[in-house]
Amino acid sequence: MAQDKNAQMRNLIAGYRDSMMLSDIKALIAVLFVAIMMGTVLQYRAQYPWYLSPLVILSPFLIIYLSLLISVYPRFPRAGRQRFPIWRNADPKDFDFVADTEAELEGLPALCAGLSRILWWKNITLLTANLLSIACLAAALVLVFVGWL
Amino acid sequence: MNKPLANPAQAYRGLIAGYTEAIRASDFKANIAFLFVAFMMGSVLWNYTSFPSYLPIQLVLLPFLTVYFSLFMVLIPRYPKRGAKTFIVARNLTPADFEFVAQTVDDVEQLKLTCAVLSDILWWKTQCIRVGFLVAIVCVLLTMVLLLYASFA
Repeated sequence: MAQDKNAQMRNLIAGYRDSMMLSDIKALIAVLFVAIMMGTVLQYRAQYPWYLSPLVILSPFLIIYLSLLISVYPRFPRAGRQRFPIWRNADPKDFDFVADTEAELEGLPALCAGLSRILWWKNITLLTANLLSIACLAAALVLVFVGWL
Repeated sequence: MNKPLANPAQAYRGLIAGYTEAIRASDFKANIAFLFVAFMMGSVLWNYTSFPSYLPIQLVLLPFLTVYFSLFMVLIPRYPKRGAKTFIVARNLTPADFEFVAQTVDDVEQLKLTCAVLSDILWWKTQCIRVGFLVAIVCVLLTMVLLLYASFA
């Protein structure tokens, strides 16, 4: 029973790590897409109507950049730091803890909680950036047709 | 009480895999961040003539150059000397140089050393990438403040 629980915890941790990796890839591709789009949008600034001031044009880009940069900012859960030390000049003796299986099993729920928290932040920031991008594309579509008609 | 592992080498290999994955993820982020900053620098410099007088070109370029420097530091290839015995990177090697592999494959002390080396490498990468990302985040925030100031002042 306990073994099942530990196996499920490990599966859950693998799931969280996979989701975080996917979220990071999405955010990194999105940041490139938005950076390329910003160049294109700014290039035609002189032809925009008066109400599209630099503040109005650039604000969504900057909010998206901020969200995506926060999303991909490297984070390691505090609960897992004892089992995954990131130290300068680490000594091989510092890694004796790996042999302690009971401490690892005790730390699994805390690690799950830490990873879940990180994933929540990644998800909320990525969602903000995606929703804002969609809203801006819709607004651009409307503005293009308003100007044409 | 510590429970001895049936195969301690396996646990160390798991940890090494974790470090390798984190290092690879860090490199990937740094590579994409490079492209992002390069695209942004183009857009910013293209519109430099519209910038206010209190933003000299040196000040505008400083954060870009700092981020480039940090990201180069992340991506610089590292093969520390203390781990070089089991991961030889040299010119003119012979097959005989790799006979140690079978002898050290399950050596826990060797695996601990690999963990220490990878932890050290990941520490440097994490610090440098954090500097690059923090500079980028702060600059985006500053740009927002400056835009608001320029629009409403």
